[in-house]
Amino acid sequence: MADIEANPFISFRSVCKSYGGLHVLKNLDLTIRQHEHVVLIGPSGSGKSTILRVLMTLESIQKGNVLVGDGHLWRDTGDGASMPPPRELNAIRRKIGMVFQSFNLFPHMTVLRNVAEAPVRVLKISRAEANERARKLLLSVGLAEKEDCYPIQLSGGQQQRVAIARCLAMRPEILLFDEVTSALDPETVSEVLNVIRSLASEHKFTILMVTHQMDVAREIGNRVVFLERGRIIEEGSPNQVLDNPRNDRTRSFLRAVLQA
Amino acid sequence: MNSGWFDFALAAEILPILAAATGLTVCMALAAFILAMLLGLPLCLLRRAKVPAVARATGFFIEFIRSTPLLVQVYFIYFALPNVGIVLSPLTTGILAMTLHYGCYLSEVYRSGLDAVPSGQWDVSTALGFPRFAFYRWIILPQVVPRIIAPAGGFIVYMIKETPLLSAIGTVELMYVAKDIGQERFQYLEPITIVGVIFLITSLVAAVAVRSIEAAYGRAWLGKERFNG
Repeated sequence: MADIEANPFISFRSVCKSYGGLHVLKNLDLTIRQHEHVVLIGPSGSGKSTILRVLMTLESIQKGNVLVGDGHLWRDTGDGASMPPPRELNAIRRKIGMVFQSFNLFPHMTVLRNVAEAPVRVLKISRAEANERARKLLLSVGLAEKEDCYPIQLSGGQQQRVAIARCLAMRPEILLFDEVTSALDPETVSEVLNVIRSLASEHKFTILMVTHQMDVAREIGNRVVFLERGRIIEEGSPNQVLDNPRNDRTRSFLRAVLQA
Repeated sequence: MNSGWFDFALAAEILPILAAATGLTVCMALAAFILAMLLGLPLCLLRRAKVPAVARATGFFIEFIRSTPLLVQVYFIYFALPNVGIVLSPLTTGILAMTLHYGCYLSEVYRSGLDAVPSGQWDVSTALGFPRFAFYRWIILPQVVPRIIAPAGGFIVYMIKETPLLSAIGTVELMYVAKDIGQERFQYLEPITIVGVIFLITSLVAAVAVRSIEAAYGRAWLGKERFNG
């Protein structure tokens, strides 16, 4: 653990978030070091997806600091938390890529264009170069022959693999996976997990993953964090948290999940 | 003369005059519709603006225009604006009033189209770092347009039918010409009947045109209503 303190890459410091009176994150402290694979588990409403959404700046926070690399993504101002000016914010945000439960592909674009569009519009690289980059990524997720299809023509698993390729096309260092297999038919879950597995094995990404599948947590994670009601209840290696949980609440959660 | 019976000879005589007026009427409605489409988009975006004062002021303006009759707006522009030195011809007044009135309605059509785009599209665009304009231009607009073709197209049919209102200020559109013929010959049955038939035909043609545009544009991907779960 000393290593983590020495080389933090992402850190949440006393982060609070609430919707109205409902506290989603309560004084959350979480530190992730570079190339670490952290899996967040917990009952629904525990705040695990919110952690990813705050990191992607899709949600705001009321209090605390969030640091990514050596930049402040959220800075505590005393009576709230603010994001940096656009240029600085974009530089930080560019390090982060996110894949969603609901794929969110652009329905009016072909698979190739889905992957190539952001590099063209955001990174301002040429269409030809972006297409080349997209084709390589589609090949790596096993969808090279689908580049002219529209999302509607693909299965859920294929759509999610396109979404991963689209995320990778921006060359992020940090990958956020928000329940990426939850909306999939059981038979297509494995094809998506294979892609994530190979990304994890490259050890060049920092991965933060929210999942309900404990086998996935065990396989991908270097560290598993169990949350409940906006607080970290227990964290440690997959073996320790999943096989020998110290906390009663972790135990009862795991029992409930494994029975389902 | 022949009172009560439809005079086909007269009908044949006045048909070319009414046909010519139909051209102007349809062109006016089309021009107003295009301008209203152009006005509706910024109105819709202003209503969704992050600055509350801008959003509220725009919302008030839209509701105000939608809640007052078109005829009152036409009279206001034509008879009241000259008091402040703005004098407009009946034709300009007609196009301006319809643009304003239906621009407000169409802004609501845009709004419903925008609301129908899944919220995940906003999430993913933030995640990918799309600049605001590029996001609206390349991601949102192409998804909104197919969704609003049918409701917006409905308005063009409606607008063509509303043009007779403008005869009240002497815009030389179809109804005005028909009334003119009636007054001249003391025969209203034929011109008014023909006008009714002409409106029926133009409305049907417009409706068919809208439907075929919708089919052609929508076929690409909106055919099935399921995307992004």
